[in-house]
Amino acid sequence: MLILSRKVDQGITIGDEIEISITKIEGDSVKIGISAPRSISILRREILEEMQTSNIAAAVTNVPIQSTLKSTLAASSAKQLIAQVRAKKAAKKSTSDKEES
Amino acid sequence: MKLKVDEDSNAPEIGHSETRSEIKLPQGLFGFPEIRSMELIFDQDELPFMWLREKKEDGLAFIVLEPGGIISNYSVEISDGDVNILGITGPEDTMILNIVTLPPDQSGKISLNLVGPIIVNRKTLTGKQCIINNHEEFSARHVLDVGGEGL
Repeated sequence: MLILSRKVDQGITIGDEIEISITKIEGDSVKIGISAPRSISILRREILEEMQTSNIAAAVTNVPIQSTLKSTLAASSAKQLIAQVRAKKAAKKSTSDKEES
Repeated sequence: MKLKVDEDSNAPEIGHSETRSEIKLPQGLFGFPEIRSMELIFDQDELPFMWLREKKEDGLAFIVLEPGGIISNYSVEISDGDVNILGITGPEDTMILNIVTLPPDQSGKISLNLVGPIIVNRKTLTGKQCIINNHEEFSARHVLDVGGEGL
């Protein structure tokens, strides 16, 4: 990794389109300004780590090919939500049936 | 690209088959960079929940849902870079899938990742997990309050 020393108001350019400047240093915290094309994603590293942790927690592993979603959705709150969505659909259907008749 | 999420945005039927479509994920998923494609499978009786799973024995699976009508006041701002990669043009060809984390015990609450939805182009069936530009407004562990919210 390239490591450079910079002072406040000094900057770094990366390629033709990315510019990084140090705008403020306060204690152990540094404010950094970045200008880059809108197509380049700039994110705090923690958020990427959070996405990885979240996906790993959500992943259902070693799923037998025949297993159904139903068997995994044992949580009662999941059942409740399915029931609510179904009830809502049924209510909508009966309203539209009435409108037609 | 900013997309408002409302109930009408839900349409699980995509691709040629109504209940099973192969979604290409050229960049994998966060934490699972080796994944290249997964199948999106749903059953009318289980909606809003759907399966996103590897097409192989003992593979990996996620439970996902379309947020319309489930999460109130949710919107996603997709970066220009992601819009280009996915080739999406607007709400008609964009599917939003939030990954569901089930509680370890049956009585626990379900949480949803609203920060990093999987965005799928309904026409090309190409998807990417995108960190939304407006991620600071939402939680990666949004607890689903089944009692009241949105429904």
